[in-house]
Amino acid sequence: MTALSLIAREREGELPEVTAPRRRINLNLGLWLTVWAVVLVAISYHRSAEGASRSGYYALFWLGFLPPMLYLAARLLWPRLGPWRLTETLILAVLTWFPKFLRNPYGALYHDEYAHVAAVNDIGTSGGLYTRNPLISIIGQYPGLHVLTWALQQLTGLSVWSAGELLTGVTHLVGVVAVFVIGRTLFGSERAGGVMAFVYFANPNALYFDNQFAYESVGIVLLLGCIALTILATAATGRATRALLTVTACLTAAGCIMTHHLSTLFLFVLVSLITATVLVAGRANVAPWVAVWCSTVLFSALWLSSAARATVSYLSPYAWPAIQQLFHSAAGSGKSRQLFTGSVSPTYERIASYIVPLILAGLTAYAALTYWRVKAQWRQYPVHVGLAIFGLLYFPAAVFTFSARGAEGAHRSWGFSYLGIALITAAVVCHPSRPALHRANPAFRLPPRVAGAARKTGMLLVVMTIVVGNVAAGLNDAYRFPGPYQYGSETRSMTPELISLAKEFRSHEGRAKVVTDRFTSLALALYGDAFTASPSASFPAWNLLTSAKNPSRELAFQLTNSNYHYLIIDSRMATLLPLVGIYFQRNEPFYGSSSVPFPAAALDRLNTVPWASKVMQTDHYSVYRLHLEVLPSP
Amino acid sequence: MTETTTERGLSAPRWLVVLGALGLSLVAVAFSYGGLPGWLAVVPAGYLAFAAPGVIAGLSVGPHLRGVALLLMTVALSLVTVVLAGVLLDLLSIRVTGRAIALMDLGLQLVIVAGVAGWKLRVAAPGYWAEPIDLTIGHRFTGIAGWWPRGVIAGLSVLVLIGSVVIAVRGQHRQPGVTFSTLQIGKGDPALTGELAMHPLQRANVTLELDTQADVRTAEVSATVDSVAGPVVELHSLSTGQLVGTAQITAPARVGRFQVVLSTPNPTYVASPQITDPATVTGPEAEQVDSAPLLQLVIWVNVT
Repeated sequence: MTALSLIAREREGELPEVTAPRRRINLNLGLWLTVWAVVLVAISYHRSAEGASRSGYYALFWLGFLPPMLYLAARLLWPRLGPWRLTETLILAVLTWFPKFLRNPYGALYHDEYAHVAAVNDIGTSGGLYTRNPLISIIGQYPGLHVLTWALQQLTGLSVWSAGELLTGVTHLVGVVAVFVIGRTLFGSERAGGVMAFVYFANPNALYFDNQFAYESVGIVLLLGCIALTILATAATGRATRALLTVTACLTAAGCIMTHHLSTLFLFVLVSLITATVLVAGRANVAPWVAVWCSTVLFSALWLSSAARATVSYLSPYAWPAIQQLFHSAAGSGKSRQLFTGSVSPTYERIASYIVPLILAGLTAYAALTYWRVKAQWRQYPVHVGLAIFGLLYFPAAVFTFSARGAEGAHRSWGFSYLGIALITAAVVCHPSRPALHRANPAFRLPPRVAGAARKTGMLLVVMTIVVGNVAAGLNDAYRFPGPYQYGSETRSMTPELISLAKEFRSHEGRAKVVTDRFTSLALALYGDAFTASPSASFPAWNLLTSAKNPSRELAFQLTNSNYHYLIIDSRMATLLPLVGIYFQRNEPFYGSSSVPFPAAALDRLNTVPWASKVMQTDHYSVYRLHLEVLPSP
Repeated sequence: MTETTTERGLSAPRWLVVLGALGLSLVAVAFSYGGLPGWLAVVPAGYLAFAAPGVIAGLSVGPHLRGVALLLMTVALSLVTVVLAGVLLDLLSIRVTGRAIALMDLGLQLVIVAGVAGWKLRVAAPGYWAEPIDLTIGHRFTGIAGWWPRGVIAGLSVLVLIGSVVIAVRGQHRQPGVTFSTLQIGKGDPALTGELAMHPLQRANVTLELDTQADVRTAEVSATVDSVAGPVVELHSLSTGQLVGTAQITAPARVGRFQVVLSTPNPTYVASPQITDPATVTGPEAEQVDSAPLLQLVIWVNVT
C-alpha cells in the first residue's frame, strides 16, 4: 500500500487518528476574519497614501491579512477542525483577490494594465483584433483577455475597467477552484485539495501581480483549468463525461494559447512532462493527456505561425542574456543583481523572503526522502511525478533572480512552478505517517500537550514566513501601497497634470505618434490615444535628449519616416533618477545609471533648436512638435 | 466525480431545458441594446460569458458532473467560446462588437448542441432529447448539502453582486481629477495656436495629409470658408495609406469652415488630419461620421 493511497483511506475514514470526532468550528469566524482583513488592509492603504510611517502601514496590512490566512492554514493542518469545503476555498479566493482590487479599484495603475485597457479600447476603435500596442508591442497578438473584456463591457455598459475587474475576479475564483480540484482528484482528499490551493495561492505573484488586469491573470487560470479538466477526464468513469471533459480541456488549452505567451510555454512544458510520465508509466486512461498534448502543440503551432509571429523575437532577448549574465556572475567576471536594492520593505519581510526557498527546499527534500521508499510504485502516480518535476523548476528560477536580465522571467515563472510546489507540499502535509514521525523524534521529550502546542506553533510560523516572504518577493512598495508622487515609478507618477495634458493633446492631435519617456507614455497611450515610440539600440530616440548635437540624419529619417512628429519631456528628468532605474526601455545605455543623463541644459536647448517648437506646456511637461525635415537627409 | 441518475424534483424534457438555456443567452443580446442600467445587464452578460456554453454542454451531454468539477467545466468552456467568437469574427472580417460576439457565442452553443445530437444519433439513443432533466440543479454546481453552507454561498454571491454594483457605480462616476489650470497652449506652433498669418482675401495653399485606413475609391474635396467657396485641387492616395493634396482657399475676414468630403464604401477609420501649412489654420478639429456612407471630415479653420 502506498502513501498516496493511505491519504485516500484517511479521507474515507479508515485511519482512526485522523477520523476522530471533529470539533465543529464556526464558519462565521472565517467570514468575520475576512471582513477584518478587508478593513485593516484598506486602512493600511489609506495610511500609506497619506504618507504615514512605513512600519505603521506595513504592520496594519499584516495585522489584517495574516489572521484569516492563518485560520485557513490551521484548518488544513489540523483536519480535526473540520473538513475543507468549498466555503473555505471561496474564502481563500476572496482573501487572495481583494488586496489588489482595493489597491486601484477605479482604474489602471500597473504598467501592463495601461497597455491592456488601451488594447481593449483599440478593438472599439478599429473594430478588429491584433492592433499593435505602443506600450507592449505583442499584446495585440494575444487577444483573449481583450475580447472577453470588450464583450462584457459592450453587453453590460460598464466601463472597460469595471468589466475587466469583474472578469479578473471571476477568473481568480476559477483558478482557486481549479487547483482545489487538481489536489482533490489526484490525492482523493479534499484536505489535499485545500493544501494545494492554499500553497499555490501563497506564491509570490498570487496576491498582486496575477490579479492585475493583464493577459497573464487569465492565461494562468486557463492553464490551471486545462490541467484540472484533464485530470478529471482521466478519473472519469462515464464515456460521455470523459469525452466532454477532454474536449473542454483541449479547448481550454486553445484559449490559453490565444491569451498569453508565457502561459502557453508553461502549458506546453507541463503537459509534455505529464504526458511523457503517463506514457512511460503505461497507465490506462492516457487518451485525455495525449489529446491535450496534441491540441496544445497543434494550436500553438497554428497561433505562433499565423497571429503571433513576433512571440519568439519578443521573448528571446530575455532568455540568452540572462543565462550569460549568470555564467559571468558565477565566473566572477560579471556583476550579479542585488536582491531588494532600493527596497523600503521592512526587514522582517526581506528575511522571510530569503527563508522561503530554504523552507521549500527542505519540504522537497523531505518529500523525496519519504516517498523514496516507495519509488518502485511511481508508475501508479505518473501525474503526481510529472507535476512534482515541474515544481522543481522553482529552484533554478530562484537562481535567476540574481541576474538582471533573468529576474523578471524568474519572478513570472513562480506563478506556474508553484503548482508543482503545491503538490509536493500536499504530499508532505497529508502524508498519513507524518504525525507518527514527529512523535518519534527522541530529541524532544516534552509532555504531549506541550509538544503538540510547540509543533502547531512551529507550523504556523512556517506558514507565516511563507506568506509574508512571498508577498515581499512579489512586488515592491510602490506597487503594493499607494503613496505620494515618486518620479520614475509606474504606479505613483500618474498625476492630474499628466492626465490633463494627455487629454488635451488628444483633443488637438488625435492618435499622434510621440517620443516620450516610459512613465509619460502610459498616460499618453491611455488618455491621449497616442502611439508612443519604443526606443532601442537601433532606434535611439533618447538621443534627442542626451546629445547636445542635432539628431543624426539616420535618426531624423527614422522619426520622420515613421511619422513621429511630437516629443514630450518631463522637466524632472533633468534632476531625478527614476525609481525603477529606467527612463525609456531596459536596454537603454543609461539603465541603472547613478547620475542623471539628461542635464537641464540639454532639455532647455529644445526651445532654441530649429527642428523643434514648443506647442504646449504645463508645470512639468513640455510638448514639442518636431520639424526634423529641416535637417539634411541621410 | 460522481455519476448520478436523475434526481427527484421538478423536471422537464431535455430539449426544452436546452432551448431555455439557449434562450437565456439572447437576453444578454437584448439587453445590449441599452436602456437598462449596467449593473442589471451584468447578470445576463455574466451568464453568457461565464456559464452559457458550459451549461448547454452539460445539459446536452447529460447530468454526469457535479460540484466544483461542473463549475470548472462550465466556466472554462464559456470563457473559451467567447474568445473563439471574437477570433472568428475577426477572421470573417466582421466588426468585433459585443453584440456580434454574443451572437457568435450563441452560434457556438448551437454547434455544441448539434455535435451532441449527431453523436447521439450515431450511437442510436432514441428518446434521448425527451429524457426528463431535474430542474433543481442549482446545488449540483456547489456540491454541498445543508442550508447553512448553501446560505454562506448565497451570501457570498450577494456580496459579489453588491461588489459589482459598487464597482460599476463608482467606476462610472469617479473620474481622474483633471485640472486645466496649469495647462497653457504654447506659442510657436502655428498648427496649434491661434496665430493668423493670412490677410483677408489672401489666397493660401493648405496641404492636407490624411492618415487613413479607409478604402477610399473617390475623393471629392470642396472648401467652403463661410459662404465663400474656393477651388480645391484633388487629393492623391499614396500606397502608405496617406491622402495628400492641396487646397487653395481665399480667406475672408471671419471665421469659416473648411470641409473635406471623402466618398468611401467602407469608412473605417481616419486619423486626425495634419494640416501642414502653418499660416492658415488654428486649432483644426476633425469630425468623423463613422456610420454614414460618406466619410466626412470637417476641418475648422479660424480666420480672423
